[in-house]
Amino acid sequence: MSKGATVSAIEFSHVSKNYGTIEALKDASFRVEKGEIFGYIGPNGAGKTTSLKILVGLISNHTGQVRINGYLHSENPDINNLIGYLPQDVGFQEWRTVDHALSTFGRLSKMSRADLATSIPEVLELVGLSDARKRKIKHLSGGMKQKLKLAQALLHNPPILILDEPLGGLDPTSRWQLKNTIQKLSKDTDVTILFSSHILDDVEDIATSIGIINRGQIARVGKPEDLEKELLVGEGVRVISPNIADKIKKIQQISVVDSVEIDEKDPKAIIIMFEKDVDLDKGLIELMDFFVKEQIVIRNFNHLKPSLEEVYLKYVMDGVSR
Amino acid sequence: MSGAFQNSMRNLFILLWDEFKGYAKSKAIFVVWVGMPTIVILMHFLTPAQSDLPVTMFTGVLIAIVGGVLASVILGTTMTNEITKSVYTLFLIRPVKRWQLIVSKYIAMMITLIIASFLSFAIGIIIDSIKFSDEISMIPDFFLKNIINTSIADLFIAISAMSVACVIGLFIGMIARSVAVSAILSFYLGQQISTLALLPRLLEQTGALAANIDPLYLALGVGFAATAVFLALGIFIFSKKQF
Repeated sequence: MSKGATVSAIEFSHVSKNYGTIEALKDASFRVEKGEIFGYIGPNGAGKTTSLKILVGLISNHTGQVRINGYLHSENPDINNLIGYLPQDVGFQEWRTVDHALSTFGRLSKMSRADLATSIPEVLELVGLSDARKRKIKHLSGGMKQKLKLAQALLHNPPILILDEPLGGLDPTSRWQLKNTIQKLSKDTDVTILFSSHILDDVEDIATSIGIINRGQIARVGKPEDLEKELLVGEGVRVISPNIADKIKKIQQISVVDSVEIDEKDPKAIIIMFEKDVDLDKGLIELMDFFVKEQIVIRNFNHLKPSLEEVYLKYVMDGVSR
Repeated sequence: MSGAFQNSMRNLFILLWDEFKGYAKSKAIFVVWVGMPTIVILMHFLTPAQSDLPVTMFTGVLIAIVGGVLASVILGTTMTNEITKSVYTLFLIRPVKRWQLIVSKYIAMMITLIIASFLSFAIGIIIDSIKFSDEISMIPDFFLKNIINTSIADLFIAISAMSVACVIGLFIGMIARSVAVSAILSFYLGQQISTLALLPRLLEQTGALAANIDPLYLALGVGFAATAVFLALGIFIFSKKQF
């Protein structure tokens, strides 16, 4: 295989893996391009962790091919130095201090002592664990251990990060900080990030590309906006107003409006869908003109678009489809 | 020397040094280092009936049993605990081979036991030198032949037995599903199987060993063979573990 500029950071090709009679992965394929933040989502037991373990070489008895920066695991014994991996369920030897643990992992990743002397403070600063550098791991909280897991993944400055549920078990502040860290890393260093999660809001916030896995099969891969567009049946808005209920018939008569209905989830809101061939901006201008003319008081106004949750539910609930 | 071999040895040394530092900081190993020499001292004061016998005579059996059992239990419970908590994942995602993790644990524990054994024998030799000072002053060879030579042979036999106990602990640590089961099995089996290496000396003392067989070499042979078999089995099982 040529190692040219077009090589994907991660190429997961027709991979199948069985645990006894259980098919954990069935002919699963996806690619992650360099610099992407790839959100890997799916229900519990869908095969996310198995996929990631195969990617980092922890599971080797599978069919199909896995390439990291164009290399098979068997082709490059140092391939794991290209990857920083944050496993979901992992422990530390708790007698170590944070500094000692990172130093050992760094030296095993072939870092020199001089590199470690600069890298350890940098990664601890990045993940917000600088104050705990000399602390024993057994004295760290769950959230701090999660940050240490991220620190060890970042330590050797790998071009590819594989993070298994990185935001799990974190409090809201730490989650927000970690999401910012991931975005900052992607922006500043052009590192490729693949992270699994079942918290769809987090994925929606940071992923530039998404893969949905269900029952061991890749249901869909694409950019979030493209996946959401697939569910888009037309442009529309959701309006909350105290004096709009008696104007529904009039709104239906506006030329750009296709339908008007009361929101099932909130009777105070109405949903206005535009005709399919109507441009959103044009529809909005006409609607606003009508609201002004009819003196409709607007309390809330949203552009309707399918959420990642709806996309996810479509592929997970409908079963696997390509 | 090839680059791969050098890297392999480098990683083994990093792991070995780390394990040793971990043991050195643990309370259990503190007990081994302080406790075993202390028991040798206590043996001298608490067994007046045997006061005409050198303390070093019992030191070998004593440290082989006490040190072996402790090492077996420490390694067994540590392995089970670390496997259960998926501690090894963070090592195996780096250029580390599975056998290096096992061998480094074994060697690090053996180094701690050898230190404890030397300390215990040194204490024993000092006690015997004081105890038999009259004999030593009359027959200087008495010290060399009866105390030093026997001590060295017993030290090697004890190390051989402790080596077997260590690999039994590692082996059980890999197959046990809980720390409690691991502790019980490694305590019992570590003690039982490691006595294989002590048998030649016991057979010699009871006159059941053929005169042309050196109990030292036989003990070392048995210890080496049992260590190799259980270590190889342990590495094989560990290589099949799913992390």
